[in-house]
Amino acid sequence: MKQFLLTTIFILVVILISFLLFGVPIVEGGKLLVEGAFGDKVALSRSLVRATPVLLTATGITIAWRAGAFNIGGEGQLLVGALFAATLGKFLLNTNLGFLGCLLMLAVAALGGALWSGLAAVLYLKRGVDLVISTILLNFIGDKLLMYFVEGPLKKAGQTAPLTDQLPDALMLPKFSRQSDLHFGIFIAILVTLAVGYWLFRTKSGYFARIVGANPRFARANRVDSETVKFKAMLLSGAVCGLAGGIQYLGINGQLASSFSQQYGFLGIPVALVGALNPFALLPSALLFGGLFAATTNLSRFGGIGSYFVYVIQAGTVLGLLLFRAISDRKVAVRSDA
Amino acid sequence: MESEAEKTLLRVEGVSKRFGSLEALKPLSVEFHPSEVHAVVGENGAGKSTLMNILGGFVSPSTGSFWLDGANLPTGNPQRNRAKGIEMIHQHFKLVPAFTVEENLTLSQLGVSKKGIDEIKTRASEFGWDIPWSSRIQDVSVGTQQRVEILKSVATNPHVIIFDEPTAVLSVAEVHELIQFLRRLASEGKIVILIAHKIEEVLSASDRVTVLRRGEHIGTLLRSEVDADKLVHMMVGDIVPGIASRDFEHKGVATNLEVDDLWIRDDRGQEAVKGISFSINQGQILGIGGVDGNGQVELAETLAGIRTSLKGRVHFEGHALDFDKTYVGYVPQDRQADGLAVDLNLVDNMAISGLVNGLPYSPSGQIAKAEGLIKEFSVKAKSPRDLAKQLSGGNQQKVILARVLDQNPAILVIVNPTRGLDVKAAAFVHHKIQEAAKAGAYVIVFTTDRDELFTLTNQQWFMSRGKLFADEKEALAS
Amino acid sequence: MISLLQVLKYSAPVALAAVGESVVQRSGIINIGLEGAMLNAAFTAMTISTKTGNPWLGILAGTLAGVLTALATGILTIQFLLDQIVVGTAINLLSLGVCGTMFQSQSTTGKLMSLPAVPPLIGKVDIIQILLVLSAIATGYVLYRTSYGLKLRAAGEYPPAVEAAGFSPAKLRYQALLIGGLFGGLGGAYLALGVAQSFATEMVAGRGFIAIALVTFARWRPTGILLSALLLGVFEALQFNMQLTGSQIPRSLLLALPYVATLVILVFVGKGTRAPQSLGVTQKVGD
Repeated sequence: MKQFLLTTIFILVVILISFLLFGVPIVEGGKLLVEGAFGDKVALSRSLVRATPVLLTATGITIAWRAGAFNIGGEGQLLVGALFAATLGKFLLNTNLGFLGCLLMLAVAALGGALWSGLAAVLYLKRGVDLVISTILLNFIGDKLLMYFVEGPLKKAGQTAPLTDQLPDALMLPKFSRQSDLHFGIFIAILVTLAVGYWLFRTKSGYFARIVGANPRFARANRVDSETVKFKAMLLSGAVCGLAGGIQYLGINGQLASSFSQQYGFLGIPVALVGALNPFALLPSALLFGGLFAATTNLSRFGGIGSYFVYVIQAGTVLGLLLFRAISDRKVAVRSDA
Repeated sequence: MESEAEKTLLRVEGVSKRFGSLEALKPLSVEFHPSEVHAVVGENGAGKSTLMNILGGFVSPSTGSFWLDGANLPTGNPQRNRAKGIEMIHQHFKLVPAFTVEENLTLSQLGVSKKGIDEIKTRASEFGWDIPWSSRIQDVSVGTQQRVEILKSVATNPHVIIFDEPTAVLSVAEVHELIQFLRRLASEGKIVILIAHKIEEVLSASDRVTVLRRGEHIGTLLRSEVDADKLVHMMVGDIVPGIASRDFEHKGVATNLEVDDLWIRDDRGQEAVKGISFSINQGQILGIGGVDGNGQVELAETLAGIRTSLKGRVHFEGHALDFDKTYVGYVPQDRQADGLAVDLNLVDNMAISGLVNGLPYSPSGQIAKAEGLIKEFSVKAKSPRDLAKQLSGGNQQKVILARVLDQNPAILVIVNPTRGLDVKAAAFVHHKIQEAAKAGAYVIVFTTDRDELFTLTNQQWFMSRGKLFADEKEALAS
Repeated sequence: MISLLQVLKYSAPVALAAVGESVVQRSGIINIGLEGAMLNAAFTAMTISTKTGNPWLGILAGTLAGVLTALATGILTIQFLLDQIVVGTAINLLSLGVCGTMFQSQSTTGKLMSLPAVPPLIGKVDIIQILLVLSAIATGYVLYRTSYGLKLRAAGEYPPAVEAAGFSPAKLRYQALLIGGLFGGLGGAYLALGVAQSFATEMVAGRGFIAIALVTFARWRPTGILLSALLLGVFEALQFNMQLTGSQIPRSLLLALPYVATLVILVFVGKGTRAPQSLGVTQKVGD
């Protein structure tokens, strides 16, 4: 609880400072932010729509980082996941599978993400390639891979603009109402996050992941194989991020463009860090940042505050929190007389 | 009033050191004379390192002072000590493994002398040493590394050179050469201080011997006044004769755990255990004593199933020991690095043994178990949700023991079971270990605490340079 | 089809950043925030050069921005001992946010601008390119043949030996970071003013990360780094030319080439056993 309050205070402080730095009037800006995020049903649904993929990628990142595997590749895994889903989608176009088809595509999206993260994990295990660098590179490669398919094999026939075929509503994730963009994916995201929370804190394999991340030597002294645990965590992590891609594809447009990437994979990192890598804390963290994303359009009248503004707040919050934790850790007396 | 010779003395007066409530060094006064090799001996925990750290300037004494050349030396400042001509050769070398010998020496001379290392090379040939200047430190033998470390120190032409347990890492031949070198340094008029625990080495190297035991200065004698027996007696008090096997009543057939010609490599690829064999019956507590760093950790890890041996086998009740089928309870030497995940709470730290032993994951069960164990072992913690790092060292040790013993392991491998524990807690732990043996476990205890070795165990071995000895004196001398 | 000069130009930003990063890594720090530093430099270079009309002031300002970013990274990782990877990621995010926001508020149309270009010095070669080659050689020399380089490398391998010799590993790391920031800033500024002559928020496009990967591949040797960067530059130039001539190979695959090549290189190189032994390890300041 205390962590949560602290985090909220930090975010508010950072927003305040950012407003000051960029010349946004504080009161008005603040009001617009709140309105834009939670003001009415439309705003709320917009926030939730934005929060959905970020929640999933943050969860995916949490899985890996908890086990000590620094997966920075959430974006690439998300994109490849969407790609896999869209590829299956092309084949499902003329079938009558409806919701089942949707579920299949989601599953395939998770598979794609897992393959993409698994690739980095294998390179690490077999060739010692640093996970941070490989996953970052794979982000860019994944993006270009998606671009290739959207502009090539998956391109909708008979048009010049690089877009995939439009999925019919039947194959997509159901929306809650015709007025908003809010779709069923939010449920899936919340469910997955809760499931990961359960896995992390209430299962043996989640426990082993936590101890490998906390102290690999402790794991070793108890005959727990760190490398296997990390590998599995990477696969699971990629699967969840891939799922995020599938959900974006099936929830929003049902169509891929080469500019599909909205950096949700990357943005999951600060959301995860602010939530202190605790799946249950990711829920409010994602909602908060999702709201911020949605709300910043309201601020655009103030000197072009746009989509990038949220990054400032995110980064500021993360750094501020980390600094605070570092400073306060120093003050904690460790009562060890070993 | 002081004569010339007296003025170049290093004098320690009334120096003592307390760490919190622990009196590591009781007040002692010693004189170190020039042109002498002066050995400071004692067992682990005797206070030798504390004294040396004070001399080297790394630790400030609680009381007392020391004097070099008649001048009072300030304490707690290593750089100033070096400037005053006191150099220390550490047990853990401060050498960059990936750099060559030459690069390491150049680095050490950078802040000190513009002349570079030509002088050092001259010195080395004066000593008769053949140093591979262009080889990387990680590729040369430990003995050579030590010589490089020594060269670093003698470059400044110090008056006092302190050698901190230099022979621990050397082969027998290298030890011999080192001793010759120590004598040579002394003959150049220097004060050579040697911290050691091996009787033979002390006797052949030194002119004067200071003995410490449990922080107390037992005495300082000339070499001519001591022999091996007297030294051992001063170091350890009375040698307790080996206790005859105590047979515990246990059910079942008298089967055994047999270790057969085990050879084990350490992390640097060198042989740490060289052909060890022993056997132990069910319900027995085998003790392995000896000074730290002689292969105990490698042996313990192999018996615990977390290190593979080079050669040799471990047989358990007739079959090769299969760690997946048999749970071996292991209490490692380094409790904070290996025994615990200090950032996690006690529930998580205690749950590991059960989980690895095949129990299902049950949060409520684990919390209850942690609470129970905390109570049973009198662990001083506010709640099972306390983080492991919040506990004192002794309580951390209890946590590890508790979780391991709770599993009723068939085999128990423990390193230094009561390190950091007070008398009451230590007695409790001993009682628990004996209980486990009575219940039929095979227990192997590695300990550097002699008292513990003789009161807790049925059989005692002593480990030295990777081999086992039945006779303590023999081990100390090897 | 492609000229050496073109390759040199295209590879300069990455090469400069990588040369600087090799110094940083040899001192024991992995500067993930290099990407952000380059972006800050590019943005600052653009801003100053458009305000003053002078590309040189832009280069200078951009370089300074790189240094300041590196300084911030240093304080967070050396003074406050925060995890290097997390700090780097946060710096990248912050830079993206700040530059993106400020750029969005300036330009409504978006990406294409015309910036004062860096004029050539000899023939078609401009001074930055010359600086690049010279500094790669000089850095290699300083790192491996001077006593300062010895100290710095020792800090990245085994800090206790540095302390035993009476020097401060922390101070050396700060210095290395500043050097890295200088080169990274120069690279970012040149990217905007020399190579692209425009600015877009996403323009760094992973060059910072590629630079980091190059350092590993070229085994922390600046001359090797320069050559590897040139090799990658070939791919980039190829990609550019192919787009111009309307080649059949899809644009996306060409764009992916540098990243794929880097990854393949890393796989090929494997564990890189010669990495500075204390690289990335959070070190306590002082004893």
